[in-house]
Amino acid sequence: MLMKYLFAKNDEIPAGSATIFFGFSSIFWFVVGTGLGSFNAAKLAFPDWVTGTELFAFGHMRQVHVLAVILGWISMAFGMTMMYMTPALGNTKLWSEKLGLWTVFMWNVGLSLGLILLWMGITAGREYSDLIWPIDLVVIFGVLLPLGINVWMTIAHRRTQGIYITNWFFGACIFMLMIVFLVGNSPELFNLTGLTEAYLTFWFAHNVLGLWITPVAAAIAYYTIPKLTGNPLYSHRIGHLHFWAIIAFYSTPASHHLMSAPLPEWLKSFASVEGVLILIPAVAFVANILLTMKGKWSMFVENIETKFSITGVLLAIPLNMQGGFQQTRAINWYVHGTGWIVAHAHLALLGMSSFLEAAAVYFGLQSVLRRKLYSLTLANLHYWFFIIGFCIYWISMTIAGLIQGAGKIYEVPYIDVVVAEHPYMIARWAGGTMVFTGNVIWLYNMWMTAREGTIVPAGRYAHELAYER
Amino acid sequence: MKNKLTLGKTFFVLIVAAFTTGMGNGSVFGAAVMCAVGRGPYDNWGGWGAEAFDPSTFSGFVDWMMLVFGLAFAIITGLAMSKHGEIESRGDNTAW
Repeated sequence: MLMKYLFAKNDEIPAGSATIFFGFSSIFWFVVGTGLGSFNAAKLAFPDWVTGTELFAFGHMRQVHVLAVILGWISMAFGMTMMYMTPALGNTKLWSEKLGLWTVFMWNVGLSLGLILLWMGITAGREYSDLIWPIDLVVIFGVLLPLGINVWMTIAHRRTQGIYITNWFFGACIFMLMIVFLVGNSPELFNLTGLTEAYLTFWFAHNVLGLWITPVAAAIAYYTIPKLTGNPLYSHRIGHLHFWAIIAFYSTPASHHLMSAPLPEWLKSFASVEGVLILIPAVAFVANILLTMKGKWSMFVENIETKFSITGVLLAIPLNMQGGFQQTRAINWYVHGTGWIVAHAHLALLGMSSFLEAAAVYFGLQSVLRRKLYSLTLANLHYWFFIIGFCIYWISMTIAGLIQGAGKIYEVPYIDVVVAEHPYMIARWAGGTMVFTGNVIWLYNMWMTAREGTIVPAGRYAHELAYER
Repeated sequence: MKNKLTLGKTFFVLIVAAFTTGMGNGSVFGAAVMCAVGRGPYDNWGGWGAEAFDPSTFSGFVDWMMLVFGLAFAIITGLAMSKHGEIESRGDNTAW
């Protein structure tokens, strides 16, 4: 069906098609990404699991896992939300449904190609910017630019006077991510080496997280929570404070990832202070959303999308507390290079961000398909597999990180640390596998929703009918 | 309208989501305090079978702080949810 619409006239493509293809692609990549995560965790928990094949070596599979979840699940979920939220907030249609479908197509093809190359060991060799430069160019000009054009033109053709905060984030973050990809990959494009390469590598890594994954996830919550609860956003002005604080404070602290590197001391101190200032947009965001829930807190336990969203917002609190302080010299000395950081990264991507995106994908697919969720029980099962699995993962990795930190500081023999870590590695695998299982359930539930979900009558919202039989 | 935010209905959300939120804050507090006051002796480095949860060690102290903060956040959120439930069940917004 996608191929048919790719070559159809724009007017002949049903509204919402890009949203649906983006939505299902994102869930598919979430299943793939978490499945790879579970596989990799099994290799750490059970060292004899699948050995002797280079393709399945941890070093190969880890990069595929990381980029499958970042560029597959998270970014395609962002693409999906942009396809339906941007026009809805501008009281207009998506500028080009056809361009949206081409973006999904290019995204899936480019990502599959990039991941296969990584799997084969063809890599740029830098963490997070692992993709080789031709694939980077596909991402910039084949994916981000068309996505940006669609979002910017939809905003430009809006039929509302102002631009809602969600669209501020959407428009700006796509532009910033393009710059991040261009500049962050310059070590490979221009053969930069040494400290410059290290700094730019983590400039890229930091900004993909700080200027794309977390702010766009927050932007989604600015749409979903008011929409689900029927309450207006508590304060649009606080939303602007959040937006401009991100722009001012969070585009520069890259060197707080390299506190032990021989970078200039002033640069590390500057980055560390900027890193603490993340608490300003974080508090603005969390307070704004929680105050928007006024009078509708019962939805936190009754409505599946709200449950996902508010859980994501709650997880933003420890995420930013950790993020703000773990990069200061005192704490970084202890936790750098340990499982604590892995736990923190998952708190950002699998915790705060993924919960907010899952809510938006649930809501968006039901709204665009005009079908009621196939099974609320399966959706709740997904939520509980997801949150319990995530908690097991995050807690076990945080504790494992503290033990590694102790081992590092006390100069404990490495093998003793490995033995001490083992139970936590098994817990990590169990938690990750629970998340993966939940996602398989989710994919089935959404597929069945598209095929057999009860059709929502005109004038009603799918989420309003969730509890009506 | 009946109270939809009783402990029975919120318990699992509190014990998982809210507890984890508190644990995250506890991890930061614990790490910051231990960096400020120092750490225990070599024997108590915190490895498996080596008093991993000894509160005098760096990791042991942080583990305990995570539990304390987790419990505290779950209780605070539980009380807040209960109060929200009462107000929402009355259907008036004047108590905000």
